[in-house]
Amino acid sequence: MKISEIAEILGAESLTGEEYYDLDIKSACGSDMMSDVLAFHKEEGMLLTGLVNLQVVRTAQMMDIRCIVFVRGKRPDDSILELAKDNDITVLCTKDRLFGACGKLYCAGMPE
Amino acid sequence: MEQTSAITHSVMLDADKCKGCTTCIRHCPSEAIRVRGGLARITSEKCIDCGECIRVCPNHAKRAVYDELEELSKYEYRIALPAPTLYGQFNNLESVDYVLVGLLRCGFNAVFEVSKAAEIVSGYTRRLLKEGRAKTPIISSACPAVIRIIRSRFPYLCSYVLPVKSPMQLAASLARHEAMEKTGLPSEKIGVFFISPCPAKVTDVHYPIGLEKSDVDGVISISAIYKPLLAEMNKLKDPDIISESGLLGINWAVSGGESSGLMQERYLAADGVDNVMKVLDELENKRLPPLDFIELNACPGGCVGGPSTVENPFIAKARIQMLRKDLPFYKNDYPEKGFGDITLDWNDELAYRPVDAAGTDMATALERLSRIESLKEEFPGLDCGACGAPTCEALARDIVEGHAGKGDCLFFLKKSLEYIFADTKGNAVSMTDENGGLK
Amino acid sequence: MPDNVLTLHYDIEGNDFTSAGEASGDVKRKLRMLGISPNTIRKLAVAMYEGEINQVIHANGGHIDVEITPQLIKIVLSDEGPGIPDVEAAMSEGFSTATEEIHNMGFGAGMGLPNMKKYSDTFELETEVGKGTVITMTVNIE
Repeated sequence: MKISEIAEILGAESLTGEEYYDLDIKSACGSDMMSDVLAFHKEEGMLLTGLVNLQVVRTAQMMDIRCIVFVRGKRPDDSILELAKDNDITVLCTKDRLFGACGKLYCAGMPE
Repeated sequence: MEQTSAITHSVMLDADKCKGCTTCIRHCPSEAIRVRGGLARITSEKCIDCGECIRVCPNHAKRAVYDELEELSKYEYRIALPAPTLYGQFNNLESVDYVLVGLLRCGFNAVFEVSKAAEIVSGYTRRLLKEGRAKTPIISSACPAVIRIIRSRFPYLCSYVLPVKSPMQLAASLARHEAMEKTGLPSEKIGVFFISPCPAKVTDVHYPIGLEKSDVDGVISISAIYKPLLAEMNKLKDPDIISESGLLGINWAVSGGESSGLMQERYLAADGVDNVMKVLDELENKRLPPLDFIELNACPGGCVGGPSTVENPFIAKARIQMLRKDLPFYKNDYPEKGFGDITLDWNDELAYRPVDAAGTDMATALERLSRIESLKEEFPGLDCGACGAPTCEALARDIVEGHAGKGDCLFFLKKSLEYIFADTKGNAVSMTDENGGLK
Repeated sequence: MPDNVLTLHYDIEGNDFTSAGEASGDVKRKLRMLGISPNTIRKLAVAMYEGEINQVIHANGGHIDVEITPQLIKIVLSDEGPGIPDVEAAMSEGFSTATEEIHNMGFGAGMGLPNMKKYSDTFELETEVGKGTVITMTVNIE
């Protein structure tokens, strides 16, 4: 699923990395626990989370995650966006809650 | 034994005993085992039934799937095919006849020595060599584990494999034919059972290579028949002399035995799966040396080292040496006129069957291999096995195939945690103090 | 990472006969994973193995760069060894400058360079006495 489609399904606003909208995302993971992301995340995926701090981007960076969606309308500060930008990670922001956002993507065919 | 078409190997896991210790994954020569969720899992297509994991598992959680002795009752007339390795399992054995007559008292109506068929195979091979009908060096086809290694990894060597029935397969065909003539029974009422030192022979019966169908109906392990057989043998005094093989056939139990049956020196014999792989690599890399015959056995010492034997292979070998002393060199040969309908030849030569393709087409495979190479760089290269894969490269491959994640690597996990929880300036914090303890 | 090209690099130790052949073994394994035909694998394995052994015997080691594309496999063997004074002689079958000791180990039959040329589809050799040798070979994928 392309990042552009994900943004549309979630009615999400792009905060950085719109140039990667055509990138194909093969799996998704939703969690506020970065340790879960480290333990369960597979290749070429995205992360949906309600946690907003620098550690989220660093986790994404370590796991080759190409797209982060912050839920419940949470907006990261500039230092977070900058780190994401440096690492070619697209950051989206949606008003949906974590459960709802995951549900919408899952129903649209996004694999675990 | 229940076997679905998907299960093409005969080594299984006993999940209750497995502790997920990773010993087996590092010893498996075909990298067929992974520890996932605390349990060892064997990939069917990659397993070559060599039995290494059975040998090394400290918890005895790997076992070979054989037929039970109860299977005998399904048949009206039952024939035992003892592998010559069986003779090396008993202390102070005066003659092979004790074993053969003992088997007749364990529920079998007849015995047909595999060593007898071995002498015929040797004779046939000598003839092929003499007539120049085989591509040299001939690689022996007697060990099914070796054949599986060659057909999946050594494409160039496939055509050198002797396209001739193994002594077990030939013994079964001859024994069945003899029994049908003698009893007048139809084939399906005759049960032919191989007494085996290894699980590779079980697979070779269910999925024979080079043949459409095996004449063996069931395979019983040496370790399963050992006790009841020994009890019968102990009751015997001066058993009838029924053995029909010489020392050449019995010698097949030991590495180098098959080669000595060719009665010439231009041969190489290697045993133990690691040594076998090294020899095959050498053969494929270099031009082949001026040899006529290459004998390869996956088990250390030859079949006496099989995982389903009861005796130490070196002791078994010494006992076989002792047994040979009064025997003639050989008693059987390939007859000039052959065996009528029973042929020794395989239907086809060995076909290359790769199991480790990275993708269905070249472009996908190249892309995947590139990703495996770059992922590998992120791991420490220690091949510690803690992730459940035998090597860092195998983990990288599992990740690319979607079976694992980078977080399975403990080193990567620690590095990640240190980076993720680095201070705001991005300086990594160490999670451990100078003594290696957790902070 | 460019699409559809796999590049591999190996450093070869000089005079280390125990690990000689490891690099060609690794490439052979990867070609198998790519599903390349047995015949192509064999050609490449022999050509690269001979080059690797040459670096071990004559050049005190060297480097091997391998590039695999869907169409061909390119191997560049480079070393800072003694160079080859008489290329024409070295390219003829049976010509060998290997020592008795190396002959005793079963190498140095004078088939190294001829075999590399024979088993590859293109073969280029640049050498300078005292500076080193660079051999570029390609094997087409059938």
